[in-house]
Amino acid sequence: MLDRTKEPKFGTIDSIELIEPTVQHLSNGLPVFSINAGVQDVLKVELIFGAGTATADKLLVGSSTVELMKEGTEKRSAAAIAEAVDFYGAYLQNEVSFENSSLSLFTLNKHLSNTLPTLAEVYHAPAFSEEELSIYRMNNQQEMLVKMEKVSYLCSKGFSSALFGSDHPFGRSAVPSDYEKISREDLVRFHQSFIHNRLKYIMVAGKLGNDSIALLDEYFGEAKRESDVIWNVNVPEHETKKIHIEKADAVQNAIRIGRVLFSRTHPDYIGMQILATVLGGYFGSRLMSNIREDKGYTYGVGAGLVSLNDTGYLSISTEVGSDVCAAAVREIYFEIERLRKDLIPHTELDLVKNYMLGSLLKTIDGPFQIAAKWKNYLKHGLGMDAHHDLIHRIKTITPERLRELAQKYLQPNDLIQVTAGRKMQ
Amino acid sequence: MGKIEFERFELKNGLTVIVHEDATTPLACLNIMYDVGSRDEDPDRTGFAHLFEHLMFGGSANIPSYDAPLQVAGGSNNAFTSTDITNYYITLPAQNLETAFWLESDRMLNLAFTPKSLEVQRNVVIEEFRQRYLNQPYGDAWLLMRPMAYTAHPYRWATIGKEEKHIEEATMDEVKAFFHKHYRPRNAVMVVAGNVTTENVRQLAEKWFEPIEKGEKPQRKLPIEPKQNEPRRTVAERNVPLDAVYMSFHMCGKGDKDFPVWDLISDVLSAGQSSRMTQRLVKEKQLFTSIHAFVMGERDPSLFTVAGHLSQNVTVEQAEQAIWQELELLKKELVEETEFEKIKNQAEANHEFSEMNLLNRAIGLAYHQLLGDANDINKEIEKYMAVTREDMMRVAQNGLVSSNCSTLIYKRKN
Repeated sequence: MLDRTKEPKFGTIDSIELIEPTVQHLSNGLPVFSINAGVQDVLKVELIFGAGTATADKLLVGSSTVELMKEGTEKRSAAAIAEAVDFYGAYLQNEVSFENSSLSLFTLNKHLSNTLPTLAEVYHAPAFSEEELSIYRMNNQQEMLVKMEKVSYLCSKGFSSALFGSDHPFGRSAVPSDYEKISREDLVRFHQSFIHNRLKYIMVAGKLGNDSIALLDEYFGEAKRESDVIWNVNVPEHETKKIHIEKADAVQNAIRIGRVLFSRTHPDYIGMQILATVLGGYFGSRLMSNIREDKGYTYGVGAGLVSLNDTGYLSISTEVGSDVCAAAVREIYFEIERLRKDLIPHTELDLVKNYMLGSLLKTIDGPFQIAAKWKNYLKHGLGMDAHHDLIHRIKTITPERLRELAQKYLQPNDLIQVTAGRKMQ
Repeated sequence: MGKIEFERFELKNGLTVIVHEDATTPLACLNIMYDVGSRDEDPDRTGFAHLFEHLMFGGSANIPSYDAPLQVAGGSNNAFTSTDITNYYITLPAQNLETAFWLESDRMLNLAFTPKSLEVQRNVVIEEFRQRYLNQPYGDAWLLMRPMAYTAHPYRWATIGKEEKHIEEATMDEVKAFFHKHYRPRNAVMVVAGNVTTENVRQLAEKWFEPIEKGEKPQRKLPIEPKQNEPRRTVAERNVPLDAVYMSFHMCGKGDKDFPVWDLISDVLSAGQSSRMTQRLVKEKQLFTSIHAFVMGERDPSLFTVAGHLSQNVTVEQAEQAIWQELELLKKELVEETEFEKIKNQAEANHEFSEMNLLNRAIGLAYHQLLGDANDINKEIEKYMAVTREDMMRVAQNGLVSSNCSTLIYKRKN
């Protein structure tokens, strides 16, 4: 008779294989990292730039530049560029963060020689025409008005400002009228200085053909390469801040609680990442168990670390019924306090460790995911050692060490709390 | 174009099992799709299939906690409910596959219903209702569109339910009855994919699932939606920053031979930056800040929808007229040769990109099996390639007419 109360034997993960990229250099010395994996005949070619929204002095210039690059070049209109990409079932995608940005081409392998020239053209010679800028400005202004109706959006923006200060490149936030202030010259200048001349490297992932590198050299082998932008990220000291952003007609309030910490290279980063997972990083986490599964205040709650180049922060975020917002905030502090007071039981910590290793396995399944993982390592100047170190640290961290970290970094007075929605009782 | 290879067998209790081996991944997925969705609900108890999905995580006959033992084995899971199906999936290191069998079979065997779990999940679902449908601009679009477009078929309510009240009133007896009716082996398809072997999956399936009692396959007698004969219209005044237009037309279900035709019509209109509506209505005429056409892939006759946010100072009349102009063009002129080649290339590429993901392949196999035959997943792209420009014109002429259209307008409150 089958005993269903007894769980089957399972194994823990001992090692996780991460495919290492091959590095080759184009004629100008530009590194190309390639992940040759997968079975589908597809490729992602990503151009990575060492500049982002915080690099530009003026608000919105960084993101607008990257987003408008594909809206027409010196040779072809926006419509013609779109047609040239769409025709082959390919697409261009851009990403912009505070300090980095990228432009990617997703294409079927067999069409690479047809689609790559368009990526290169968009990179080398975007037109930034007044007409495209004006359409972009209008649409984004209006879509921003839509976003401003969402408590989660208001709260995230308030949270960044509270973390870094509202004048800081990471903390400042745009309002719709800021779109009026950006000019064509801003975009041209930003593109020239920070995008075109600061292509850091190319990441290629998928099923690589033999001629891929030669093809890349043809289009990117002459790109200029200036040294990285030097960052001086002074994060101001601030007093404890509790901020409420009112939105009277909300039926749910958004909550963000967290603090500035450090980047991925800090010795305590991985420990804090494990601590954040215990607190709110998975379905069975303490916050999910408490405010969702026990009290039913929310559909979901999460906690995690964000790493920037030289700094980083912890963010706990949720949206809860407006009437239970104050109660939910109390429970979040209660769970933080518990991490500072009590040791995490071994059974719980073992679960979190196994869960994290399982997740890691999942996040590096498939060529695009592997490439994303390496992009993150390369951003911090890390390599294969970091991958092994991560696994080792997850496996060996102790409840005592995690409590020390909680006591050091999760002091209630150091936490910033931002809420958005109805006035709290 | 790669074919998705699989093996298929049926257990004695009627559970269909499909195995898709992929040795390139260290992972395994176990996906169970139950043939029950919000279309199977009582009109006075809407949102029930989805509420039930939440209860499936509240512990089962022999296992008090569903999540913890899975996480300890390095796995993660989730689920979703639609109008047609309820789907549960686990991803975990392939070596720990048996843990997934143990967990999934126990909750198919029987749930451990507790009043506390029901109470909490009712609240969680109400918060989900608020977060996704009430506390978002335009979030209630489908709560307004569905009851206008449908008069008889249960697609007339959204999966989340008609109103919070239906969820608040769900009782323990109703929950139990729902489980025993719909969560039987014969009403489910299981797909196991990844670094697994068919032989091993067969043994595990026989060990863990075969002892589960067979049960009946529930019979479904859904009302047929009568043909719409006149335009319908709803104007909703809301606290939104921009006016918006949604236009929905009745179309065929997913299994129909015209489904790919409708899907390609939506692509001509709005797939990619070079698509007709993006180029002409957003960029040239600047009538919309964004506009999309899409199909939902439901099993019964479904809706083809065009939805757009209006630019400031554009009237609803101008916006509607511009959409109609694009639709009329599809009826008058054949899609151009190069444009036609483009949307076929897009269909081919999308197919290839979506198949990179193991879980997508597992879900695709399960869904096609429910529709009739898992192997149809391998014929899908051929069906798209077989569509002609004349098919597109014919379908547009018959379907994209005002007497078949329900229009929802969001007006900005002043």
